[in-house]
Parts: sequence; C-alpha cells; structure tokens
Amino acid sequence: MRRTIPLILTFCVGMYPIFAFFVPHRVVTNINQNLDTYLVIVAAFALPLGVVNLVMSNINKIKKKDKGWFYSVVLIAGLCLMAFYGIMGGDQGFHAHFQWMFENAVSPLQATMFSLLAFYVASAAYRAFRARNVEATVLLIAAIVVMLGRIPIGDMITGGRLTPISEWLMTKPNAAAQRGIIIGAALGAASMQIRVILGIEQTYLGSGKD
Amino acid sequence: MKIQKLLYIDRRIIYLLVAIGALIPIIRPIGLPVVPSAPVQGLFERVEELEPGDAVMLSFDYGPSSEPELNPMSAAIMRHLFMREVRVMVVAIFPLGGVQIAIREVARITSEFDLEYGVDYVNLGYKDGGQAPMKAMGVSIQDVFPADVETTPTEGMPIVEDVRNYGDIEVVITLATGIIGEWWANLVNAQFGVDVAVGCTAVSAPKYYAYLRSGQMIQRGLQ
Repeated sequence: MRRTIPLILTFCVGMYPIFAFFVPHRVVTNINQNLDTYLVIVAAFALPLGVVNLVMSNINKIKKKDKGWFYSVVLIAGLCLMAFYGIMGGDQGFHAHFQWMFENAVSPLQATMFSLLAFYVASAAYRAFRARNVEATVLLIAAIVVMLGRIPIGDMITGGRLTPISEWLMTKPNAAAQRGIIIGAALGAASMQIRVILGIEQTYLGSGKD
Repeated sequence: MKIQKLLYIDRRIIYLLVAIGALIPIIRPIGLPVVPSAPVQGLFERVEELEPGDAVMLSFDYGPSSEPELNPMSAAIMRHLFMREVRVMVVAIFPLGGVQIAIREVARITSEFDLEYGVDYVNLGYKDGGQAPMKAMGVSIQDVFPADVETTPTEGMPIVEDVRNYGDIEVVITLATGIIGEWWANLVNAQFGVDVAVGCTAVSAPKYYAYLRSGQMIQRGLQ
C-alpha cells in the first residue's frame, strides 16, 4: 500500500498534463492549470528538504569529528544566521543584516570562488590543448580561432579577419554537436519520465526499508 | 626540446600569466572597442522594433559569481528598454542572490529615467521552484507573484493588471547562469511562443547556439 498509492498518484499526475495537451476543453484545461499552481508549491518543498539533508549530514560530521568538521560548524552557523535574518525580513528577506551579510559575505565569497576558477581553467586548458595527435591539434586550432575571433584584442591583432571563421565554428560544428547532446539528453529524460509514470522506475520511492 | 619544455610548463607560471592578464586592464584600462556580434545585434534590433507601452519580462537568473559578466548586459538592456519606453517586469528565478542583484541594479538604472513604479516597471522579486513558476506565469503572472519584491500586493498595479500572462509579453529576456536560460527556451518559447533572449556567461555560450540556430532564441550573449 505504501508503494501502490504513490505509484497511482504519480501515474495520474504524470498522465494528466499529456491528456490536457491533446484535449483543450475548458474543464480539462482548468484542472491542468490548477496542477501547475500546485507544482509551484510542491517544488518549493524541495528547498526545506535540501536544508534538512544538509543540516543532518553536517551535524553527523561534527558529531563524528570527521576531517574538516570545523567547516561544517561554519556552514551551519552561516545557514542559521542567514535564515534567521531572512525570516525576520519578511517574504523576500530584506532585513538590513541579511542584506549586509549578502553584500559582504556571500557576494565576495562567490566572486572569489569563480575568480579562482579562471586560474584552474587556464591551466587545465593549456594541458588539454597540447597538440599530441591530429584530433588534439584540430581542437587547439579551433580553440585559438574562436578565442581570438571573439575578444576585442583578437580583433585588434587580426583586423577582425578571424571573426567570421569563429562565428562559423560556433554556428555550424559547435551548434551541431550541441544539438546532438541536447536531443540525446532530452530523449533520455523523456524515457526516464515514461518509466516513472508507468511505475517501471521506482527508485524515487526509496528502498522500502525504514 | 624547447617545445617539449613549453608543453610541461609549471602551472604557477600559467597562474602568474593569468593574473597579469587580469590585472593590467583593471589597473590601466586599455579601452579596446567592443564589436557587437550578430546575435547581440539581433536582440538590439528586436528591442528597436518594440513600441512604447509594450511589455518585456526581464529575469535576473544569476548570482554574484557571474556579476562581472552579466551586470553590464543587464544595465545595457534595461537602459535600451527604458529609452524605448517599454514596460519592464523584473523577476528572479535563480536562488543564490538573483533577487538581491535585481533590486540593486533595477534601482540603479531606473534612477536615470523618469519612471513610475507599478506603471512603467515593477520588480516582482524571487519565486522558488525553477520551471514551476515559469510555467504557471503562462496562465497568470499575478497568481505567481501576488506581491512584489517589497511585499506590496500586485493587485491594482497597472502594469500587473495589464500584463496578465506571456500572451501580453513581447520578449522575455533572461540574464542567466547555469541551465535557467535553457528552461526559458524549452518551456516559455516552445510552449507559449514568446520570443526569448538569453544573456549568458561566456562559458555557457556554446550550448545556446543550438537554440539560436533553431530560432528558439534571439541572442546568446554580449560576445
């Protein structure tokens, strides 16, 4: 019963929007629109679920005094502080302290993380683009052309001659490859959704053990 | 032998070169001209086609990590829209600071124009749930945002009363990091037929070319 009811619910909720898409009757559409509204509410529950999961895993880490447990203390303290002032600030969380913490802690921390990436990406790209074989050489040349064709200093050096080649590389070979990836991922997602709706895929229900 | 040495150069030297490359333009701006690419020109022309009073939805879907790349885009787009006397509905779908950036940037740019809040523009704030509010706005924007960013009820605001759903919106422009730009194209353009434009970080640009080529997007970034 604990598995059957969720499976029936999933089937009905999953099939209804497909049914509504093909039957544009007012009554059918109204119910579908209500489902969309419920979706906003249900999706919002993912947030507290994530918070509970994060807190539990970090508390366990602190209890066991695992390596780096002190960072978990910082994480939970930051989470509690931001949540406290966020809730104090009303619906959108604009308490002065909340805004101060965002501007002076969250913002610089995120900016630092992203800035550091530039160094790692440059180093990784340098190693990845070594001309070891034909494929790597093609990749290296394409990368140089695209980079020089898309930045102002590249325009200055080449007099804008690489820009059309760069644009062609992006709109033709790149777009074709991206399209393949997107279509492949979409087909995979669609088949997974069919499996979930039909009850073939049941891992989201858990192992069944308490 | 020399080439071999160059291939196995110490990563700290690469870091140093990147640091020098980043610092020089900060300390002494070079002032190189920026040439708009074809997709950027495409969005510019689409905005030029808008009539005064048309409505555009502008979504702040990025956090502080992408500010250096996306803030100039948001400023340029907002200035262009307000110069054309287009009404702007601001929303934020990205959870990690999108709404805070929206508040700051919208306040900064709107202060340059003579605009009336709730009539010429509105900041509806953040809504959790990603694709769920995007889809629900196809039916009613007011149902998704019963209050604006300052928790003022949106009921009675002329812009919200007038612009009920995507049917009343000419273009959705998202300044997006991660996958959110794709959601706008897959969901809002494909299902509701609204023009979607994405201003993205350079690292995300390649994937958007597929959408650009299929006509699902107007633009993918300012170079």
